[in-house]
Amino acid sequence: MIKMFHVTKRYDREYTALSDLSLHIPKGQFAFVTGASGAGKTTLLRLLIREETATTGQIIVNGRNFASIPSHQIPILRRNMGFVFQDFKLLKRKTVYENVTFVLHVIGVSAKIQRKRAFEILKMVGLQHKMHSYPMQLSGGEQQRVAIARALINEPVLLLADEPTGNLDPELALEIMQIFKRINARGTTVLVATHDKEMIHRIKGRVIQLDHGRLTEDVTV
Amino acid sequence: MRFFHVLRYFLSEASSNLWSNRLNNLISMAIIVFSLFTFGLFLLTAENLKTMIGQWTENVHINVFLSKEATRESTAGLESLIKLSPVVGRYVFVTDQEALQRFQKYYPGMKQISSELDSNPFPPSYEITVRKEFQNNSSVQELVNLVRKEKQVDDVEYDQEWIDRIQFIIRFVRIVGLFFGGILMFTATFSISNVIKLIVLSRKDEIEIMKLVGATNGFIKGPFLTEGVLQGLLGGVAAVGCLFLMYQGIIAKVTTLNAPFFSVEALHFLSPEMILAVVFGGALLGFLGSFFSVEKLLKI
Repeated sequence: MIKMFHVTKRYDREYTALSDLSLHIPKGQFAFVTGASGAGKTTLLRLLIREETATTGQIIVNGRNFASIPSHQIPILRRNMGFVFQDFKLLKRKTVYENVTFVLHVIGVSAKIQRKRAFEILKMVGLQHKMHSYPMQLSGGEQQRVAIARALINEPVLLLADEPTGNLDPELALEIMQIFKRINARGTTVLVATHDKEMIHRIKGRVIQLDHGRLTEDVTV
Repeated sequence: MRFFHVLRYFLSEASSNLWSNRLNNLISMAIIVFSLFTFGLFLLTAENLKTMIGQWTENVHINVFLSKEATRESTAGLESLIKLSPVVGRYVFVTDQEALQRFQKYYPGMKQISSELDSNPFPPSYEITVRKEFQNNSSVQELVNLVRKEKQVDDVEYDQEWIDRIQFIIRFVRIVGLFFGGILMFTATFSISNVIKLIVLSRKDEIEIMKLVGATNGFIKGPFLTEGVLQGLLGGVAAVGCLFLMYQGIIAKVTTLNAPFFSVEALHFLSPEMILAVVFGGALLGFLGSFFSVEKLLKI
């Protein structure tokens, strides 16, 4: 699913965010990327969603080599991925339903199918009754579940999450991680960036440890 | 199908943007209305003057006013000069009495004054209609110069001189209209651009999210461009509406004036093509205004 060959990301001469990183995450795997602040976790995810380009090295996601993707095809590439962020990144002016179906809007799915999929996915995250609420009317945990629903509605092959539980209390964080596990059980590759070691031990999976942009450990717990 | 789906999305987003930023949008729309109204006003004035000129030039006249004591017999030499000139289509000798009767007919309100005068103030004259093919021709001016030299001729009035003057005014009105209209339209474009810029900046996070979920540049820009076009279209329609109201006001005023030689029928509103030009001109202004700001801010 994800292949990285000797990837280096340098922002300027002084600062190297990732250094000579090579990785292979097979299809259907559940993996954590962990490390202290500044380890390169977020940079890694930004490279995988093609928000950034590698200074050197090759990245192949779902069979597509990022080096040869023209910029107009980036949106199409992103439609096959789901993203979840620490700050949820929900559209505040739109309801839960509109946030979740936004991706389907973008790709022109009919209103009927949008309704059906939105109901199914919101039911999965337990928010079908809050369909018409606005993000600001929801708790942090609920907002994160909306973000997960949005990430999953287009049935992506890859789900990327950047500190998805960073703003949540331990109980809600566990709940969110369990949702990720359920998604992974259905065949979606999941990559979660987190510095929460306790959570990693509770959930279990492959752990990719970064330190100052370098791979320091790659184990399965 | 997808096209209509996307179009519906753009329209609903643009309308919601228009409503949620209604104060800013109203200001920029007012500038559009003012710009297009000014442009339309110059257009309307120039067009009406052009129509009037068109009606006058159908029959260009030369009026040769003679001295009071002149008669048709005493001006036989002048008449043969007129008769033999190739530029003359037809001519008629108007006696001083006929001229007075005409005045009383056309200005019934002033009949009293003319009857109180001791003598008839109108001189006899020759009224010459210039042949159409000789209008704007230097040989007409040559005839006028020749006639002016004749003994019993007091004055010669030649329509073309007036027509030339009015045509100059029309050109002037058009140039002034284009100049001021151009400046105002530039202001309108700049204003739309600024309003859209503010909206784009206030939606920066939203745009980032849209990009992350796979929205294409076109899909992100679409609602902003549609908003600019809607602003321009609404502004254009409002400008035409204001022009029409003003035009109706002028018609009503002209009707009450009851002026001779100037009928309401001579006035006309902008042609359908011109109305469309003003309305779609507004849409184009709106599009350009939002296009420049969106292109600049959404370097995706």
